Amino acid sequence: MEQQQDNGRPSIGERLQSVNRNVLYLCLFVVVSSSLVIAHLFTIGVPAEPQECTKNAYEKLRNLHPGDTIIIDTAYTNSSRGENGGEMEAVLRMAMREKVKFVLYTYAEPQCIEVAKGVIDRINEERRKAKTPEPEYKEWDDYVVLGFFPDGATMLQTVASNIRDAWGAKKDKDETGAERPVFESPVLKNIQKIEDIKAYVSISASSVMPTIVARLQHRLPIISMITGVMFPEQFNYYKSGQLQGLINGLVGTVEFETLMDKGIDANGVVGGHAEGPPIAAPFPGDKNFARGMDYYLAFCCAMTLLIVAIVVGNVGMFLERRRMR
Amino acid sequence: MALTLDNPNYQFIKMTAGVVATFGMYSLLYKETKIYRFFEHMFLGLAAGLSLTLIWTETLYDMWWTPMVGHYADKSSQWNQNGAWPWALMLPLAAMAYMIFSKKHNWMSRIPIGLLIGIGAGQAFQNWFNQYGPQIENSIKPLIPTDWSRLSAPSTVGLTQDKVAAIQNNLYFSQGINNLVFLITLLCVLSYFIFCTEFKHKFTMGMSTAGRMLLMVGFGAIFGTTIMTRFALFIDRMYFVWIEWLMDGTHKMLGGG
Repeated sequence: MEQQQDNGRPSIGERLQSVNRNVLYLCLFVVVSSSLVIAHLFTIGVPAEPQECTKNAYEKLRNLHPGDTIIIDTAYTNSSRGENGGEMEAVLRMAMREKVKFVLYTYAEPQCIEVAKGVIDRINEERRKAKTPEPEYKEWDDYVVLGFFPDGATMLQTVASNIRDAWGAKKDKDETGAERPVFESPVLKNIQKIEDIKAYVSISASSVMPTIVARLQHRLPIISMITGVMFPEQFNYYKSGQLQGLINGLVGTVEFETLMDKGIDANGVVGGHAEGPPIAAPFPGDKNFARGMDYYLAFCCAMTLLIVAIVVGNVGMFLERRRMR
Repeated sequence: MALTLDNPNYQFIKMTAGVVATFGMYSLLYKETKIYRFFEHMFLGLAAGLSLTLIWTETLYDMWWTPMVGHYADKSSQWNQNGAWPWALMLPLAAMAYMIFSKKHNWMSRIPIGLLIGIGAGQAFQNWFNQYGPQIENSIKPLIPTDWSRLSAPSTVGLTQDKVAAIQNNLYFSQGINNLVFLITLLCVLSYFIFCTEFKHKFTMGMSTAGRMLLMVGFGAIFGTTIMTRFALFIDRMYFVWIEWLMDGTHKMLGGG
C-alpha cells in the first residue's frame, strides 16, 4: 500500500480523510439533539440581522388593517416542516393578532390543507392559553378553507380574470356546520376582484412561484416564503420587483420573528426608537420567537460541525499530499 | 377514559408511532434493512391512500359531483342549486385517458390529453413573458455613475422621503461597479450557452470559460442553501423526538396539561 505508512498503518492525513460516515452522523445527532434541548430549557436566543427582503415582507404584512382579506397558499407538508412550518406559524400569529381574515388553499398536494389546519388549531390553542386569553380564530367568520385545486395554473388564470367564477363552486362550513358557498362568508363577501385581496402569501416547498407571478404579479403584493434551497431561484423574482417580500427558509423565519419582536422604526432601523410612526410596529410582550428561534441554535451548531468536518478533511488532504511528496 | 381524538393518551400514542417511524426511516443511514423497507412501504401506502381520499373529498365532490347532482337546501342552509347533468359527460371524457393502456383504442386517450396540452400551451404564450419579461428588463442596468461626489450611496436613515428618493435616483460609484460585475457575469454565462458557433478567438474563449467558472460559483451557492435546508429538516425531526414527544408529550400524558 503506497498510501500507507511504512509500518502498514494509515497515516494521520489518510485517517482524517476517511472518517467513518456513521461517526459523522452520530456527531450530528449528538450536536443537534443537545443544542435543541439546551435552547428549549434555557430559552437561548441567537441574534439575527434581517435582510431587506424579509423586512419588506414584514412591512407589507404588518401594515394590513383589521378586516382585510389575504390569501395563504400553502404548498408544504410535514416533510418540510423544519422551514415552512415556522413560516406558517409566524404568518398565522401575525394575521390573527392583526384580525386579518384569510383564505387558505393549495394546489400542490391535497395533504397540505390538513397540515395547515393542524397549525391553525395549534395557534388557536396557544391563544386560548395565553396570559391574556385571546378569542379563537374561527373557520367561516375569520378564515375560509377552499381546499385543494388540482390544476393551479388554470385556477389562478381564472382568479386573475374573475375570482368569483374561479371559487364560486367552493363551499365551507359556517358556524352551524352547514356547507355554504365561500362568497357568503364574512371573509369573501366583499371580494369582487383579485385586487380586493390585500396580499398573496405563498408558503412553499416546491416551485409554485412561476405559476403565481406569471398570472398575478402587479395585481396584488405577492410574498413568498420558501425553503432555503429555493432562495437562489426566487431571489431573481424579488430583485425584478415581481415579489414584494421573500422569506428564506429557517434563517428568514428567525429574521421574521426578530422583526415581530423588535419592529422597524420610522428611520428604518430594526428595534430602533425614532420619533414618528414606525414603518412596521412590533408585537411587544407577545410570543414572537417560536419555531424559528427554537431551531436556530441547533442550526448554527450543525453548520459549525459541517465547517469543522470540511476543515478536518482538507487538513488531512494537505498532510497526505505533503507526505507523498 | 375512552381513547378519543382529544385524549392525551391517544395523542401520545400517535406521536410515539411518529418517533418510531422517524428512526425507522433514518435507519437507512446505517444500511438498507427490512425495518427501513417496512416503514418506507408504510409511508407510501399511507400517502397514496390519503391522497386518493382527499382528491374525492377536496376536489371531485366539490367541483364535479355537487354541481352535477345539485345541492338541496336543508334546515341550516339557504343555498339551493339544481343539478347540471352535462357535468356527467366529463366522466367518459376523463375515462378516455385510461385507454392509453389499450393497444387497439389508445387513440381515444389523445382527446383528453390533447385538451390538457392545448390549455397549457395557450397559457404558456402569455405567461412566459410575464414570468421572465421583468427579469430581462431588470438585467439592463446603468453603469456610469451620476454622482461622483462620494464612493457609495449615503445612508437614508432619518431622511425625509424626498431626500431618500433623490439618493435612490442617483447611481454612485460602488453601485456602478456592482452593475458592471453583474453585466460581465451575465454576458459570460450567456456566451457559455452559445452552441451554434465555435469560439476560436482568445477573448470569446475566455468569456466562455469565465462563464463556466461563474456558473460553478452559482451552483456552489445553491449547494450551500441545499445543505442548510437538509439540516433544517433534520433539526425539525429531532425537535419532534426530543421536545414535542419526549418532553412535552410525556408531560401532557402524565397530566401536566
